[in-house]
Amino acid sequence: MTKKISHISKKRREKRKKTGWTEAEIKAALVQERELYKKERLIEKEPDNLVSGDMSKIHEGLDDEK
Amino acid sequence: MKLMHMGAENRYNVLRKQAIRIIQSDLYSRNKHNLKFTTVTSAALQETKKWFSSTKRKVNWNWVDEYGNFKFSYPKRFEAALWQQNDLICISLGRPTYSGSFLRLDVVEARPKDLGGRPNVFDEILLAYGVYARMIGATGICIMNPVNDEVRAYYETFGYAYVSKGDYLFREVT
Repeated sequence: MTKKISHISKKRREKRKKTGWTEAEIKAALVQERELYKKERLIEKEPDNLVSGDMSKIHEGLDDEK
Repeated sequence: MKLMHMGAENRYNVLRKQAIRIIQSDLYSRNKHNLKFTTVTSAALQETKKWFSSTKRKVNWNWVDEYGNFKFSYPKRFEAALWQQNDLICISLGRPTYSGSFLRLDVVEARPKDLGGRPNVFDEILLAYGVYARMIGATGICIMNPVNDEVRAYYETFGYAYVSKGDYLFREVT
């Protein structure tokens, strides 16, 4: 019987919690993300002279509670 | 610098370089031989000084001073400099949150376009953060303090959701 994709993703997440990502998995995720960005043509939407962040706040802000 | 701090600096330096190697190898595999990632080297910092001559630059950040402080404070940081041939075209600093659950992208600046043509860069930078986040076991990326609504909307196209309390955008690493 085939397993649901959500079930497989959950199992993968659980495994990563225990063992982390392998280099092969990291590379595969990189390729997958790049393809998605390319498909959505996100690079073309970049604002001119991109800059972001606040240099005066780089030592403060977010803890781990979202 | 304390021994423990030095140990962390050395350990994470290995991870930073490994992340850079992975993203660089991906660039080469797509025949983007004119683009090169490095960590924030002294050469990269020197290049940012040229950006003061831009009339289009939106910030007046002194990367040389800021990097020194950031490096000393955060041995687990991520840092990336993107080059086109011998020209620096983007620089960025970030760090994991205290428990290491998330990776923050704190600041990023692309070379102002009045100093020379360059490709758009943010997707490459974000992909590099994705690689490092996975290497350190972070479960999400936070893009901190978007400078304006235009930039914020741009980040949202990458699937990031704005969190007003804290002024950042968040996405899970899956």
